Parts: sequence; structure tokens; C-alpha cells
Amino acid sequence: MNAAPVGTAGNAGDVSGAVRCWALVIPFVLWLWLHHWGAIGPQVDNTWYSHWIAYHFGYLAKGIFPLWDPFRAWGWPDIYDVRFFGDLNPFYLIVPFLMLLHVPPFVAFNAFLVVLYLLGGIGFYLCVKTVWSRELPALVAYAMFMLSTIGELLFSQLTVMLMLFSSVWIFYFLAGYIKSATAGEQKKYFAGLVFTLMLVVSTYVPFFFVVSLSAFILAACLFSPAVFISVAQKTVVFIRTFPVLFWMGGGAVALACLPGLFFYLSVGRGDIALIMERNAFGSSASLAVPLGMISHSSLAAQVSPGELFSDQDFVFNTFCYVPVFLAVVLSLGCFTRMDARHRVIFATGFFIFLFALAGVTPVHAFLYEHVGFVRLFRNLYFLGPLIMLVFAALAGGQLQSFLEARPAAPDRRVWYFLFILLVHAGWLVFLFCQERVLWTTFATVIGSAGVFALFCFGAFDRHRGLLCAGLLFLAMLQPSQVIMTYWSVWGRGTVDVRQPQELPFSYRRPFRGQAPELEKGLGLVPKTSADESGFRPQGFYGTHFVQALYSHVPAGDLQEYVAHKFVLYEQVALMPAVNPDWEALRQALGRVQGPAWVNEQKALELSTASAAASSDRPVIIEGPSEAFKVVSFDPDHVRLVVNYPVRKFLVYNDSYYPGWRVFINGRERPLYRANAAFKGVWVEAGRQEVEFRFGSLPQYVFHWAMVMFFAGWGGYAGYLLVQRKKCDIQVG
Amino acid sequence: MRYPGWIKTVLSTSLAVYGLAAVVLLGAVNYKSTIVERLNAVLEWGDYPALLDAGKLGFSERSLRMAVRYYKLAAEVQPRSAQPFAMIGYCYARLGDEARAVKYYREALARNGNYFWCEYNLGMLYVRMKDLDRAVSAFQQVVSQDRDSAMKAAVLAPLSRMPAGQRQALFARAAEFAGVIRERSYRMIVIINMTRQQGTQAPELPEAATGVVLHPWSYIIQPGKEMYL
Repeated sequence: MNAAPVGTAGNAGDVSGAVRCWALVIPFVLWLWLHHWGAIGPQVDNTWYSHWIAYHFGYLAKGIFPLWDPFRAWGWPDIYDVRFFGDLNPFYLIVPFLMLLHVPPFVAFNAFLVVLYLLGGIGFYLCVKTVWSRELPALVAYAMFMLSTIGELLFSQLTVMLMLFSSVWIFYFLAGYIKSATAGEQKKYFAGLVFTLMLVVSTYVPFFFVVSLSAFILAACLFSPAVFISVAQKTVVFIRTFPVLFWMGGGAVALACLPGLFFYLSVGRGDIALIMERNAFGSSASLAVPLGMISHSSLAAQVSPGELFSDQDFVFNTFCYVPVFLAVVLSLGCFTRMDARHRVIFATGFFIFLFALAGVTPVHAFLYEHVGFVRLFRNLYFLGPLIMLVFAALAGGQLQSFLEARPAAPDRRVWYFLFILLVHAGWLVFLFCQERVLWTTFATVIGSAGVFALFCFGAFDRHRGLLCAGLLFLAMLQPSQVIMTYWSVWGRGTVDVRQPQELPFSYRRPFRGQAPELEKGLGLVPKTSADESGFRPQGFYGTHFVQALYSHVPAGDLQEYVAHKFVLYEQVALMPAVNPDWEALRQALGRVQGPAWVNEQKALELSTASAAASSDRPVIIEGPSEAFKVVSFDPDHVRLVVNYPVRKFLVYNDSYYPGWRVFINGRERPLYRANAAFKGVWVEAGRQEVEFRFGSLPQYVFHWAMVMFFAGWGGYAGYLLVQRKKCDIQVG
Repeated sequence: MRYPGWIKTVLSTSLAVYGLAAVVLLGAVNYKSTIVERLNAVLEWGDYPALLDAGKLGFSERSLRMAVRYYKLAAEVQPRSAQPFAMIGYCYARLGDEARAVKYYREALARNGNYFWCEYNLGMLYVRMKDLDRAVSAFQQVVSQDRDSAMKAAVLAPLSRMPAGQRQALFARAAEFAGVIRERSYRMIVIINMTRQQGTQAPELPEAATGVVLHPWSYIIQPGKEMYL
């Protein structure tokens, strides 16, 4: 296959502008149509994400930055959910923008997904084009991206989409940075690199990205070490040319790490406790995942080798399959020469694959022991689509190599033709031996044999566009049927598109079983649908005060008490912070009777004064009345009007946590930890305006500044990317 | 040391790189633990054997396909055992894929000829497929078997590792089950013969009458627990 290239081999990968345009548009339009035909609807985790995002950005659109989440786990800082989707990503602003135009949140979320997917596809096309310096492999790889495994995951796993979108663009900017000849070009790629890195580090997906980047670096070290010297030299010149931009970029990435770092430190300090089953070392303050749990969610556990080519009429929601055209192209290229680029790409995919297999190879176990961050994440099967992308990029290069390897002289093409036949016949035999193979799989292999045979005998020499169209058709044929069958098995989404993104305040907190119509998926009550009791024996999370209460007082005794948001007592009693009397607390909370328990002596002073009028039975607020009314509420504050003839100790059954303050008639008053985990304050007799408030001005400023900073940097990177003006500052 | 040029050429091809990667994979991957991990992963989505045992598995396409995944993996763990193959056959029969169900029941019978409930189910599948000769032959196999010795060979022997009490309870359940399907097999032979005498091609039986029956136990392997087979 190392014969001299054909006369047109030099531009075997070039196609006309019109063909390029259509080749980019058609797969996307086809993909949209297939999904519409199958009825788009979020599945699995995306159902939650759509709620979370609608909730978060719904409040953001109203100028409120939700720092506290009062709807789950009896209230806790809103720093956990947002790490999953990365609230600082400016592309999310599509959601509140559409919501302001009265588009239902669910539709807005899907629109965001579609935009992200298209941008990811374009990024992949540009990345492959940059690597291979040819159009045709980039277009074919783009078609594989658009209609492959990843397309199905779009509506089930936002995490995978975020990871792919960011990784694709990072690698595009990285490849561009490496290949750019001038510092002006480097500036464009550097700004994009910084922005996409900021997106990655502000979510919980950086671990997946770090794995792929490490695999790439390792592969480059092995097969193309000179690239590091080249990058170092270019970077030195770049720093000299644009020192401010360079240090600003570094600072921006460091700044983007802060929310994740705060979260990590918060868990490490024990301020919040995470799901106990997830914990590897018996302490709820750890983020580490047990090795066994990681193995259960590895690629080896989720994907069977036999299912990579068969059984695609039943696709599992974590599934990953190999588009048969990709496999055929890789096989066709098996006798072509692999240069350093091919080897680096192949080795990158292979290293990621070895890691994603987790427990079945020694690689992951070794890294789990010796590399700290490997303990922090599971769901390694998320790397499956990324591996597919790497191999799709490789297939683009292999396709190019194979096309260029066609012998120039027609009489020497017999072997080339026989090789084409042999490869396709081999695949047909293999597929006949598999069970439940889609008919389009066979059609793709047969069609591929036809297209490559025609190419062999020069049928496309004067019609490069036809070759491109034929290859795109083959790349899309089988995945189209998979998408159709995927939706026929998994059905349409069941999300109520009218669901509001903002919740009214409720005086009573429903617990599990009380609102079955709202419990979806694995039994979680969607954040935007109702409050949740926090009773999750298998997967507890919350503040550490709540965790202590929950682990010492049985759920059955707490259930009735925590159902009420407000309880007013006349007496308080002291409970030591160290070794509290849990039994007394259990009895008091189980019967919802006084006194309220506090752990500060100061809170007792007022209690003594009113003890004479005390009764054991506290006032439980069931709804608004003349004496008690909530006048305004959002995640970070609640304001109420209280009017009782005697002084009362008001307990707001929302977690006590540093950062909460209470104001009565505009004056700050001491806030006590009441009943082990909740907020309590003394309220004088007569009409009083009480306001609980979370967050400080610096916190608000920081969060809003981060939102604007991300959007600003994204705008700057986008501007540099699309501007055509080239800077003529030469490297060196 | 200088290598001949062709060696360098071969080593620079994609095939050499793929081959090297395959060797690394074969050396690094523990295939058995791969299967156990996959079994665990499938069971995380639902305890399909337990659900089948309790008759609670919704016979939706999705859940039956998931059960097939489980039993196919179990068949990889226990390739000599008839039970996983019989269960795959059962699931395919419920899915309406008679040809594949027949194939797996035959696989099960090839591993253990005493699996007379497989013969019965095969007979029912042949009735559905209008292949009456084979159906009669399968039902006759059920009827002609010595029930006690077949039960011992089919239930007690493969489950020798199960605790004695549990095994006896299962045996009693299976014996009762065996009696029922033997009786049904008699009835089916009579119905088919009567239909033939009337000159029709195949008996038109309601779906319930041609339904396949579930085997007396559905667990093949419980990862992290005991393996009975």
C-alpha cells in the first residue's frame, strides 16, 4: 500500500466549498430530524439536569444568585449540583434568554443541548482538519461524530456532552497552537484554549479531561517528543509578545478552579457530608469513591465486546458501539504507513481505553493507589464516546492515507482492488457470525466495497464531490438506524414542559411517598417540583449538623418534625455541643414538643424570663395566618411577619450553617443552632418582621463577577476565532 | 545493527501498531473479572433473576432484553451449564423471537438432556411455529422421561453447592412444576393429534395455552455471593 499516489492524490482530501457546506449541514439536519422523529425528550440524568438548570438560571434571570438550596436535604449550600453542570458556562445563558421569551424551560434546555452539540461537531471537524490538513477526512469524521454513539448520549448524559464539547475544542485549540506559525495565530488559539479550560475546570468533568490530556501527553512523549520542544519555544516567544495575555490567561484558569476548590475544601473540612455509599474511607467528609464502585461503572462493566457490532436494535443507555464504517476504514488503513500523528492519536485513544477498563487491568488500580485525583470520580464509561471520537479522528487520517495509497498506474491497481474486496468480505463474514445485526450494517459494508472499488478504478477522479457524498452517506447510514431504534426502545421523555422553574414557598415539607406523582427516576423529587425531606438512607447528603442529627435520631422520629418548616417555642433548654443528649432530642422531636434545644448559654437568658408562661406544646405553623406569614422567599432569604402576644423562640427547620444571618425589624439578631441542626431566633411579642438571609456582599460580587468574567472571556475568544485578520508577528 | 528494510516497513504500518495494542490488551485484561463486572453492572439496573423468580419482571421489551444481557453474561461464566441458555431461550420466547428461542433451548438441551421443561417449551415454540411433528416429538420427550431421575439430574446435581435446605425446597417446587408440565404435554399431544384428524394444519390455540413456562429457578450467578451452578 506504499505505492506511488495517484496524480490527484495530493488533493485527495480536498473538496469544494459547496460540498463542504452541504457535508456539514446534512448530517446535522438528518440528526435533528431523526431525533424529532423519535420525539426528543430527556432521559435518565438529563431529566435532573434540565430541572437544575431551569431552576438555577431561572433565579439568575431574576437577578438572584442561588447560594443556598432550601429544597433538598433540609437546606444546604448550593455548591454540589452546580458542580455537575458548571453554572459558569456562558452557553447556559441560552436557557434564561429563551425562558425570558416564554419558551418552556424544558424546550430551552433542549435548545441549549442542540446548540452545544452542533458547536461540538464543528469543533471536531476543525480539530480533525487541523490535524490532517485535509477536508475530506474532517468531513467524514464529522459525520461519524454527529450520528454516532454520542448523539444518543446527548439526551441522557449532559456530563458526557460537556466533556466532549470542551475536550474537542481544547484539542482543536491545542493543535492549532502547536501548528501555528505566527504569534498572532497563537493568540487566537491561546485565548480559546484558556476559555475551554475554564469551562472544564469549573465543572466536575475535569477529571475525565485530565485523563485524556494525560493520555495525549504520554502518547506524544512516546511518539513525537520533539513537539514539546517546539511548543516550549513557541510559548517563550508568545510570552515575550503577549505577556499580559499570557498571565491573564493563566490567572483566568486559576480563577475558574476556585468554585471547585471551595467545594473540595468544604467537603474536606466536613462542612457538608456527601452520599455515604460513595465514601471510600468511612468518613462522610471524603470525596473518594470506592474502587469497587468505580469498577462497576467502568467501560469493561458497561460494554461487552460482542455488543460493539451486534444487538444494536436494543441499545443500552450507557451503550457504546462502533459504527461499522469506522471499523472498515480503520481496517482498510491497516497496511498504510503510520506517521507520528497517527501513532499519537492511536496511542491516546488506546491509553484512555486502558484506563476506562478500570478494575480488569492493573492500570487503573495502580493509578488509584498513586494518583490522588483518580479516586475522586467514577462512571468511567463516560470516556467511551471520547475514545470513539479519537478513533473517528484516526479513521479520518487512515482514510486519507488509504486514498492516497492508490497506485498511479491502472494496471497496478488489481492488488489494491483485491485488498478492498478482502477487507469487506472479512467484515461481512464476521458480521454474519454475530447476532441481531442491523440490515444497515450489512448495507454499509457492501456499499463501502462499491464506493472504494469505484474509487480504485478512477470513477471519482473527476468528481471528488461524489466521493465525498458517498463516504458521508456510508458514515451516516448505520448510525441513523441505531438512533431510530434507540428511541423506539427507550421511548419519549416524560417531562412536563409546563413545569415552573420557580417554586412557591410551602409551609409544609412533603416527604417521600407524600408526593408520588412528583417522584421520578430513582425516587428523587426534582428540585423544581417540591421540597424533599432529605430521608435518603442509601444516599445521604447535607450539612454536617444534619448528618449528625440524622445518624443519631431515627428517621421515623424525625419525619413529622421536619415536615414543618416553622415551629415556635416558649422555652429553650441547653444541650451541650459535645456529647449531646440524643435521646432527649429524639423524644422532643418525635412528639414535636418543647423545649427547643440550643447549645449556647446566651440563648437561655430570654427563656428564663418567659418560663412562667410556658407550655410543652409549641406552635406549629401549618399555613399563613394573622400571627404568622411568609411575605417573601427565594433560595437565599425568607422574610416573615410574626405577631404573638408573648415572646417566642422561632425555629426555622432549615439547616444551620455559617453564613446565615437573621434580622428582626432590620436589626441583626443572634442566630442560634436549634434542635441540633436548624436555625433559631428569639422573637419579641407584638408585630415583628423577621428576615433570614444567606450570603454576603463579597460572595454575591464574586459569583456575579465570575459569570461575567466567563462570558467576557468567551466573547473575546469567539471574536478572535472568527476574525479573519492575521497578525504578522512571526515566531522567532 | 541494521534491520532489513522490509522489517522497518512492516513495523511502520498500522497493522503492526494494532497488533502491539492487541498484545498489550491480551496481557493486561483479566477477562473473567470483566464478566463479573458486567454482571454486577447489569444487576445494578435491576435484579432480573429475582424479579423473574417472583413473577414480577414486567415483560416489557426493555426488561426482557436486559435479562437476556444478564443470562448471556452468565452463560460466559458457566458455559457448561444448561440453565443460562434455557433462560435466554425463555426471554427470547417472551420477546416473540421463536427462532432464537429454539436455538437457545437446543443449546441448553445439548448441555443437559434432562432439562425436560426445555423440551416442553420447545414443543410450545414449535406449535407457535406450526411445526407439529417436532412439537409432538418434544412433548413425547417430556412424557417419556423418568421424572424422578430426571429431576435429580436436572436440579439436585447442578445445585450441589446450594445449602441442603434450600436445595430440597427448590426440588419440591421443581417436582410440582414437573408434574404440571408433564400433564400439559399429554394434553398438547392429544390436541395436536385431534387437530390432525380433523385435517387442519395446526391447532389454533390461545396465546396463554401456547405460552412457555418459566424454569423453577432463575438465579445463575449472584456476583459477590454464592455461585450455585
